[in-house]
Amino acid sequence: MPLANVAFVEPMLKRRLSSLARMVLCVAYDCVRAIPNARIVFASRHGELVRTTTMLECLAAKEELSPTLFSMSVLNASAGLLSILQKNTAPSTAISAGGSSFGYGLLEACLQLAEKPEQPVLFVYADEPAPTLYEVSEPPDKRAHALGLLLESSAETRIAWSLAARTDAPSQEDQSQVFLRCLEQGEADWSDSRRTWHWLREA
Amino acid sequence: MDMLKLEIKRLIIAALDLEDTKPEDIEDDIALFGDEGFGLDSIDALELGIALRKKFNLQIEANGAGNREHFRSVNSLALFVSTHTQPQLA
Repeated sequence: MPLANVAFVEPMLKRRLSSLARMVLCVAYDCVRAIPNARIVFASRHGELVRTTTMLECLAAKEELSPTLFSMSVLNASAGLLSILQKNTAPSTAISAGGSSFGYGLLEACLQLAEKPEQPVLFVYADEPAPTLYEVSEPPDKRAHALGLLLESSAETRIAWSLAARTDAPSQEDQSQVFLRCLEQGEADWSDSRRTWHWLREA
Repeated sequence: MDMLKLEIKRLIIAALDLEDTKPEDIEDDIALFGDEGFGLDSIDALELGIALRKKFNLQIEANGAGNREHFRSVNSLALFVSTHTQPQLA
């Protein structure tokens, strides 16, 4: 898969970006290029698990760990990079909540906006399939992808959200892709084994 | 010595993912670290230390007093490697 274009990142920083971090910065920059003080909420199911796995394999082989890999392997690495790039000192939050990481991340971003409507919130979700080693159960067509949403109180698009006991069979798609369908078509449902998420576009 | 310097430059490029840099872009005497020089940082120093240990079987003390001087430039690294390399065990 080709790497996401991050030509705006200076070369000395760009060389350290994982494929996940490149996706995050690519979509984030499209949203907040002109907004240097947005709060940032980043969500990912697996985060930098590809890098973490490489490090664990190094440890297992009794090789020395790469300091570069280590420094960029935490969940909030990408959000931190964005704040450094933009010299943005606004709060930054990183969330992981299993298969519902997208939904809970978006919820966190919405709550932050409700608490302080005058300061925009950037929500970025990015994820890659877990390394096969982990045998994680994932949607069959799971691909590396990222999604950036800029939340502002003046936004024209408004989404209502509800959560209820599960009614349908568990979804075979990533939650983020189902949410995109809500943006495109006006409504979408996503279920795991326990709950059904419902999004409805109100405007 | 020139061969060794070239080898060190190639090692710096490979170990630090400097994909757009050629060996001739790194002057022998330029300061490798800091914004005034080539611009490498402390993570690069650790990464380079590991690469040098692997390739030349060097013994580098974690907080050795001489490290700052040894890692100053390609010239100083070449001097350090040529005087401190342990014989490789077959």
